[in-house]
Parts: sequence; structure tokens; C-alpha cells
Amino acid sequence: MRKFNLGIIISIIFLVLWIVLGLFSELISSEKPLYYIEDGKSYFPIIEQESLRDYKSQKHEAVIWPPIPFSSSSMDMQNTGSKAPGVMENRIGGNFKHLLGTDHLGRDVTAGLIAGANVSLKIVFYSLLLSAVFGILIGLITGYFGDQGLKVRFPNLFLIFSLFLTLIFHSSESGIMSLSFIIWLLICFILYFLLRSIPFKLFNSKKSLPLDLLIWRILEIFDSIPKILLLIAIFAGYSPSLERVIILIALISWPGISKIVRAETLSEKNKNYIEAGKALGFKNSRLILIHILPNIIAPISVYLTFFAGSIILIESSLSFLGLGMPPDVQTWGRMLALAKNHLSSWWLVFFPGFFIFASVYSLNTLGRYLSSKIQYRKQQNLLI
Amino acid sequence: MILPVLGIVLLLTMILGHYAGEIPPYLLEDDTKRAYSEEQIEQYKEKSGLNEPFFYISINKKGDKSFYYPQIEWNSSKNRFHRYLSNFIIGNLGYSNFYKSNVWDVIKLPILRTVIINIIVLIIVYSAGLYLGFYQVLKQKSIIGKSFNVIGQVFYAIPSFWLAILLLWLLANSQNFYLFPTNGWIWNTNQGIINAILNLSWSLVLPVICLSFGSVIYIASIFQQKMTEETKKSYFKALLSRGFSRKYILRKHVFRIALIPVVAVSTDLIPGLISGSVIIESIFNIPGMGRMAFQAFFTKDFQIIYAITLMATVLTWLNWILADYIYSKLDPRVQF
Repeated sequence: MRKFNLGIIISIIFLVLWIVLGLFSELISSEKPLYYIEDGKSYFPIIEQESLRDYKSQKHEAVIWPPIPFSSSSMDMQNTGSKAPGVMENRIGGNFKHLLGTDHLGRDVTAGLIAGANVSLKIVFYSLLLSAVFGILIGLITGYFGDQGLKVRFPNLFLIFSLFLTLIFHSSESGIMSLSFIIWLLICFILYFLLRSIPFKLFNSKKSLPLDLLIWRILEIFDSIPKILLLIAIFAGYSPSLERVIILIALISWPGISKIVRAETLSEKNKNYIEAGKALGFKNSRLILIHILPNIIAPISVYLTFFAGSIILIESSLSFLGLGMPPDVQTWGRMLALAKNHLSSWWLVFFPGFFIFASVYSLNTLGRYLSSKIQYRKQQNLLI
Repeated sequence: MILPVLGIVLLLTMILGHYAGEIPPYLLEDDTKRAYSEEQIEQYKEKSGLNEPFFYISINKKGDKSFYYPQIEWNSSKNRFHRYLSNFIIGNLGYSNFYKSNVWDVIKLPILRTVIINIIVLIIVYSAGLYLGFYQVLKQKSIIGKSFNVIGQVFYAIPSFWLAILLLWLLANSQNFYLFPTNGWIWNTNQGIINAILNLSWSLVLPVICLSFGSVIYIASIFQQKMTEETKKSYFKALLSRGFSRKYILRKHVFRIALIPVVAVSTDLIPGLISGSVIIESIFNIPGMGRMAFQAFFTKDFQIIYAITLMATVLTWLNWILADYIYSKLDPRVQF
């Protein structure tokens, strides 16, 4: 009988709260009412995407407000200068309470937290997806083939390299669907077939490619640069946007994922079932994708929860420094940066930081719990 | 090995700088009018060598025929990358146009400050982390030992910048307790050098706590895990059955073995500390390396950015070499 675990229950509750707030942030905090009746007709302004007007100063026959009747960017002119939690906004449509107070511009803190949940959920989901796909692919390939495993002919290598260069060259200026791109593709393939047709030993024999060495030496160098300096350098030159944050965080975090995937693959590839598969004549791609990947996906998904926590930390420290997201989007880090200049208002100091802390803590706890489960299962299997 | 690494790191940052636009914005426009004429910008480019090509190879995409094929040119050694790297090796870091002086003169004091803070942080991290881990294993059965893991997991998830703001709110705020200054670096030799050092160390308390907090728990948990792993081995039981005390065995036999993973993870610590000091220095207004880099990115003073990134890389590599050396001393099977 396992012990009753309080930490995991708290963290699952918080994660569910975070995901619900993030997914339905539009419905939970908005300036528009959820439903109202005007001139005998009923409206659903959020679902019908009405343009924003001053709903609060109008009289409606019947109206249902969302739980937080403020949006993260709207300013309450009556309550500027960071008012304490519980302060009211007096309007014709009723009194609206700021549950967690307002900041110096009169923006509602609760609405900001919900908008921050939405942003962090988006960033975590997409950048984790991107970096997991890329990291798992690279980790599987480098782990499975090692330094000797992958044997390639020179023309194939040439084809891959030249296609890569063509893509890079055309992605920046002239666009992918241009005439010169097609011409260069043709040139690449013609050269490839020419090289293949040369009856020369060097071109036709298979040489082993030290894939593992090449990729991991480069990544080691990449490791030695402090990541936040790199991110600041990038954001200093480019305008902030959500897509850019997602792509850059994915770029930074995939080496960590593929390191773990590689280690798991290394321990898996010497097992008997892979040898049996090789003896049966299965292709490498089948062995990797159908036999190794399902066996390592459980430990990998555990590590991904830890990575989700670190992504939240990176994102919030970036927005704490005022980089990353565009300035009109409220994030947890940005709200915390506000607190630095308004230390007397404790609600600004406490709540945004608590949300960052709680999401990181609950992701870490979930990861730890899952990994203990997997280890338990492994021990059981070994005993049998 | 260090030279190609420096080259690749420099290339990466130079590519970033190149695409971010190397001409500083204050040269291009002022608030009201254009501050510098075209000729002056050309002169600036010529003086700082921006007219030279960027790398050994340059791909020229301008012109009519380049639509179908890129014109690849070989620039020999007359390029910015080569010039900067060769100057860096002989110790010439270039000229900062924003501060109007040599880069080394600008960044030597900030680097010294950051290195001093990080050395203090490392000493605290290792002494406190190892002590906490050791104590937890020693008092495994007591309440402190049992609650260590839970408290450690909670504290480990606290982001350093939230901790910094909480501490500022609690201990450097006139509403609560005004014990510490909000400024993290106070150096004033008017009242004698001893007074200055005392003031400095008092002002450094909060930043050092914030920087070392997460790492202490990280080190302690790794040390504790390895030690508990070792206590289940048969040599530990054999020594116990001979009548040695648990504390004696832990100190004499287990301590050294359990240091190995701690040294192994120390390679992750230094880049993490430098990243952390960017944030902590900007919160506590410490004129250190991280804050200087952060400011330089906004004034687009790329000479300083390159120098600081390369310095951080050199520091990281020195740490790796040191860690490898200690590792080989601890575990004689490993050859250095």
C-alpha cells in the first residue's frame, strides 16, 4: 500500500486549474458579458465576436457577466495607482469587484493572471511539441547509429547537404516557391545522379559517418554559452512576438531532450529484441520507430514534464526582463517586473510569482511521481 | 580545443549582431532630428571596420545574375570575424562607441564584480549544499531528515527573481523591515577601507541569497541521493557490523564517493549562475557583467556583447577543465 501523497494531489489540482484558466481565458475574464438581452433579442458577444464597446455603462434587460468582468489590458480609471484586493468599480451595470486588486494603471490583477496562464500554456505546449519532435528524432538517430552505425555513400551525403544549402539560401530572400529554387533543386538532383553514375570506388563504397561525434561536439559548444545572453541578443534585434518566443525556446531546449533520448536509446539498442529484429532483416527505420520508440516513450514523457517547468521559467524570466512577448500582452513575468517598482503593494509582489512557482512546482512533482511509478514497474518486470 | 570553440561562439554571436543591425540606433536618429549625416555614418563604418566583409566567404545576392546563382566570394583574412578573433587572442577587445573607450577598460570592473559575487555564491553553494545533504543522511530517521525532501522540492521550484522581489518586499521595504539596502553594490571608501568592505558585504547579502538558493538545494539533493544509495551497499553494512559509528563511516568512506556526481553537475552550475546574474544584477542594480550585457543589447554596443559572451564562454570552459581535474583526483580510474 503506497502512502497518501499530498503533493501530487495539490499539483494535479493546480495543473487542471492552470489548463482550464489558460484554455478558457476569453470566457473567464472579459470586458464583454457572456450573455445579454437587448430589445428582446439575446446576444452572446464573446462567441459571436462582437467588437468591444462600453457594456458596463449600458442598461440591459438581463445580463450574465463572466466570473472576472475585466480583461487584462483594460484600465479602470477609478482605481489607478495599485489599489488593494477587494476594491470596487462602480458602474451602472453594477459593482465590479477587483478580486486581487489593481496595478498602477488600474488593470485588474486577476485578469492579468488569467491572460498570463493563457500565454504560458500556449508557449509551453507549442515549444514543447516542437522541441520534443526535433529532440526525439535527433536523439534516436544519434543513439541508434552511433559513430559506426550509419554508412552512407558520398553522393547521398552530397545530395542532403546541397538541398540543405539551397533551402537555407532561398528561405531568407527570394522565397521558396521561386524559379531559382526550382532550378537549383534540378541542379542538385542532376549532380547527384551524375556522381552516382561515376564508376569509381570512392563514390560507390559505403563510408561510416561519425554522426554521434559531429552532433554532440557542436551541442557541447552550444552548451557553453549562457542561454539567457543568447536570448537577449536575439530579442534585442527582433520585434517581440509569440511565434518567435516559441521557436527560440524550442531551439534552446531540444538538445536537453535529445540527450536523454540518446541515453535511453543506447541502453535499449543492445537488447535481444533489437538483435532479433536485425536477424529477421528489418530495416533500421522500422527498428527505430516501431520497436525502440514505443519502449522509451514512457521515460521520455516523464522528462518532458520537467522540461515544461523549465520552459515556464525561461519564458517568465524573459518577460521579467521586458523581452519576448509584445508589450500589450500581460504575462506572469511582466506583472512581477511591475512589482519591482511598486514594492508597497503586496498583491503585485505575491500573486504572479506564486503562479510561476506553483506551475513549476506542480510540473516537477508530477514528473517525479511518474518517474517513481515507472521505476516501480521496471523493478516488477525484472522480478518476473 | 578552446580556439575553435571560441571561433564558433563568436561566429554565432556575430551572426546575431549582423542581422540585428550593427549600426547603433543613437547614430541613426535622435529624438527630434537625425543626429548624424550620411557621411558621418560612413566614417563610423570605416572607423569601426563595418565596411569589411563579415566572414571568409561572402555570398553576394545583389545584381541581376545572382537571381539564378549566388556569387560566392573569398575574402581571405580581410574580414571582421578574423580581425576580431585575432585581436581577442592578443587581448585587444575593440573599441566601444557608446562608452567612448576601450572595451576592456569598460568591462574589467563589471567582470571583477560578477566574478567576486559568483565566487562567494559558489563557496556558499558547496559548503551549505554538502552540509545539508550530509546532515539529512545522518539524521534520516528524525523529522528534519524526513521533511527535507518535501521542503527542498518546494524551495527548488521558487524562481530566483520572485525570491529576490519577496526579499526586497520583506527586508528592504520601509513598510515591513528596512534592514538591507535595495542597491546591491555599495562601495564607498570615504570612511576607511574596512567600513567599505563591511558595507559592501551587507549590501551583497540579498543578491547572494537569491543566486545561491536554488543551487544549494540542487547540490544537497544530488549529494543526499548518492549517499543514501551508498548506505545500501554491502561495504557500508560490513563497516557498521564492525562497530564503526554511522557518522564516522559517512565522513571517512562515503563522503568522497558521493562527491563525484556533485562535481559532475558543477559544469551546469556556472552557465546557470551567469544567466541568473543577468536577472539578479538588474533587480539589485549591481553594475556587473550581466547588467552591462543587458544594457549593451539595447544600445546595440556589439563590441561589448561579443566581449562579454566570449568571456562567459572562457569562464565556463575554465570551470569545465577544473571540474575534470577534480573528477580525476576523486576517481583515480578516470584519466585526465
